[in-house]
Amino acid sequence: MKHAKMPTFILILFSFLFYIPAFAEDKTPLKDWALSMENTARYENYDFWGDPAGSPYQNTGGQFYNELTTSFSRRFSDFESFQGRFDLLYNDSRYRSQHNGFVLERGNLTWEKGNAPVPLRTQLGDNFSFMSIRTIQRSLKGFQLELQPAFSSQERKQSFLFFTGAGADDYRDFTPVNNLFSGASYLIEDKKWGNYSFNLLQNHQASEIKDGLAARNQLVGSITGEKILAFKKQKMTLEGEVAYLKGDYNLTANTTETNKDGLGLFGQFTADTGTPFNYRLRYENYGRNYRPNASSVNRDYEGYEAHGGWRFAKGLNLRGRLQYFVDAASTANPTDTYVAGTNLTGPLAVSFLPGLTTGLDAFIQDAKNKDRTTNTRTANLNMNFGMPVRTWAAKLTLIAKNVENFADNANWAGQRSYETNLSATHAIALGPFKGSVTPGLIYQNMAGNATNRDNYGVNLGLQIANAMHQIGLDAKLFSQNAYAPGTSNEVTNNVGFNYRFTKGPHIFGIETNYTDRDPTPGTATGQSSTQAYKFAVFYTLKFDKEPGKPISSMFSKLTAQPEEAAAAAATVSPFSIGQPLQKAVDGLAAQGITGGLMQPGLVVYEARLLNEIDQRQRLALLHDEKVVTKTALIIDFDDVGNQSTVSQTFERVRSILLKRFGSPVDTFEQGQFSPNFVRDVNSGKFVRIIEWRTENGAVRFGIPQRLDRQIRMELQYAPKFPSRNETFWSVEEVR
Amino acid sequence: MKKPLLTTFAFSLIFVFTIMQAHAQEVRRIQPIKSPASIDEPLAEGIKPVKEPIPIDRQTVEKTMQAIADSWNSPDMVKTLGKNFYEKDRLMDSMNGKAPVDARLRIMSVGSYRIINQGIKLDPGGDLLISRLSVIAKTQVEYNDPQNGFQRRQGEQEYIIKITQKGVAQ
Repeated sequence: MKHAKMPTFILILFSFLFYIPAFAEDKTPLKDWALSMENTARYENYDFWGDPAGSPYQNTGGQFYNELTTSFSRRFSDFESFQGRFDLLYNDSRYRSQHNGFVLERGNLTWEKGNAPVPLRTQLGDNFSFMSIRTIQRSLKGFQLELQPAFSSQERKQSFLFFTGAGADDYRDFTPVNNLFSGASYLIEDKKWGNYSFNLLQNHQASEIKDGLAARNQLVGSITGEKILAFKKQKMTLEGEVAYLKGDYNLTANTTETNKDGLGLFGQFTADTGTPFNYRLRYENYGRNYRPNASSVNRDYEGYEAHGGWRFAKGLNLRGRLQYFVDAASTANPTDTYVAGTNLTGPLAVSFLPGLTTGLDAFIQDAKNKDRTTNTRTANLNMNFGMPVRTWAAKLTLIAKNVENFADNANWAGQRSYETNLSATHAIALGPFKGSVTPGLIYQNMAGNATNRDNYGVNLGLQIANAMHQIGLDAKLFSQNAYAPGTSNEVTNNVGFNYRFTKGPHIFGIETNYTDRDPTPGTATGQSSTQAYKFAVFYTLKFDKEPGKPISSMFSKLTAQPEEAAAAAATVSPFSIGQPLQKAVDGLAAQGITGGLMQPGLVVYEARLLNEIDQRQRLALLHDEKVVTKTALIIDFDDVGNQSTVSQTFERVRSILLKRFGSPVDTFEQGQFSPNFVRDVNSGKFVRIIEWRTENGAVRFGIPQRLDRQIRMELQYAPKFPSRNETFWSVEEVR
Repeated sequence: MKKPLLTTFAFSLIFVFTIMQAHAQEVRRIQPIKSPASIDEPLAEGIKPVKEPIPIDRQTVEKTMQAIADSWNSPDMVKTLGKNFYEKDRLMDSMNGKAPVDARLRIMSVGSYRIINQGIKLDPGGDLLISRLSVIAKTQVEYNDPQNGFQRRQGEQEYIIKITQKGVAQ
């Protein structure tokens, strides 16, 4: 009975979706609107055997939910727009929502009008209300209005913000008065005098019968300021906030403090000295009764911080910090915490370890309260190294932690732990699938505080994909060996598998996870083994309509005929794919491109196809023994260490390609050409991807990340490319 | 009512994870409304508003949330936190000092999400779409205690994440 709703719901949904095109005409009133719909139906099944306490999943059996997201927008003029979005959930899953049936989780309507007498932006439904970290920073369901009256001077701007709304997860049983926030804020930004805001926030919480709490009200007011100062080469930023709370707040889940007054103070001074050195000083003080309900700051707290950094010429960054915190500051037994830490990141120039990058983080923390029932010293060292080793990208992480306990009457004196993680990634090709495999090892040792154990683990990660299929596998074997009396050992196996099929607007996916937990001696400690699994299958369908097009355009991808296989090109282009390999080789020979080096799965030519570019160019034909599946032009840089020439060469090639292919359909750019260019590419922080569409596929140009850490440009032609987030898209076989 | 993620840790329940820095701040800033008096006013330095809101698909959000969960209680976790994440150092020190070494975060489900604001980062080589989203997710911290066996702590949090996707020339 429970699952009888599922097929009914899906039928209704898809009947509705396919019904729309029948009415789609050019005269549709929605022609000027942008529309987007995404529907995901997901079925999951959970189960476990053995000890229920060992299962990560406590709710077993089938779980179904369907998410429908609809968004729409229209631009009436350059200064006026309207947009909305609704997230509707049909739920029959204990994991997805606390409600069953239809749930409107989010809804928002936004109207922006800049050519009104007073430019305004107003939102109905879900909105994000933010005045400062110390007052409110959270999502609300309600109403928000922002007015931005213009000054005569462009150097000065102002904003009035008004909002009211409730903190709630969804609109089912929506009762705003249960936790209602109402606020107003005035902000003025002046390029000469700085930025200042005046904020007022009121919160009402209704009485709670369950915990016996009365209704609670609180009022928070704050004034903020920010001023940038310049002194010689230094650029300094001074920030501050004074906040005051009056009213009630929750002390614990079922106790409150009423009619209290609390003060919050914040100050920060940040300096960029115009040298490799920069520093920051910070002070915070929140009184015993400063506890705004929509803020995440700690009450009865005081903090002093000093941070400094030094940027070395070759991209190495050193940071240091000194911090002093007081918790329970106003009580008779405050806890003082002192921290000294340092952090080093970036490439290390070690001649016999080329390409080595490192990260080091270390700190010492002393925490003690006045009566010394808490008195600990924690030392922590965290080091990670990465470097290419032949065709592998290796990574090593070392972590050490030591806690000494000096508390009076303590029953333990110390605790320490060590951890080592070693992993390496290698590119693989299985037929038409390409990807990477990452085996790894882990070792952990813990001792002290009635703890004495070793943990060992082996991991294996695998990701492969072709044009439409993506497969991921993650397997882990973890053994915990505890030696202290009254403890048990445990061996855990975990295997996760996921699959995605993507074609046009359709995405089909499978996700599975299996866990086997085996404590020994299980019976001695009351535990026994547990096997648990999760199986999920989902289907996503997406529709998009651009402004100016009829609604029927949303569904054109569904009814479009599959593209026919590419006919053999009449004239052989170095960038033709889908043609017989021999024909491609012969065609290139006829154009004087000869001497190809045959490797398994590809042929590589030294060929300068872009005559305007002097840098070394190589043409690679990737094939499946019969036809060419991908082509790539690899263009080297003269000197990757020279930021200026690298940037110029890249821009020149891009300019040539823009002339040849026209406007790209997609570009993805992250990071800047900087002295850290090589490191940034190899860490995935620097990304350049430009794509054009062709009849048979796509052309991609950019600077990919490589396992052997070579830096070069590649122009590839293939039926499809991995997502832009996948930075390892290079033809790894060509070195 | 949201439940705490791991009650033994004293850190904020509102996480501000940042894939790319653009808007991290202590106090409110003006998000300019395009008007005849300020036609080309940027949202922030190098950030211009989008002409039409650009949907972010669920797969992208779920993938980002999984990446955040994978980095939890690992040295990479600090990289996912925003530059001005409140008490970032204290959170990381607390994680390093108090979290069980084998503790991991499992995403039980990714709930609704909403784009808070979007902007395009201008760049001569192509534009980047930067979206700030509010995401509700159910999570579960899991670790093994040799004395008490398997431990799990469920929670539901609002995550504010920033996704930098692709250049969108509008």
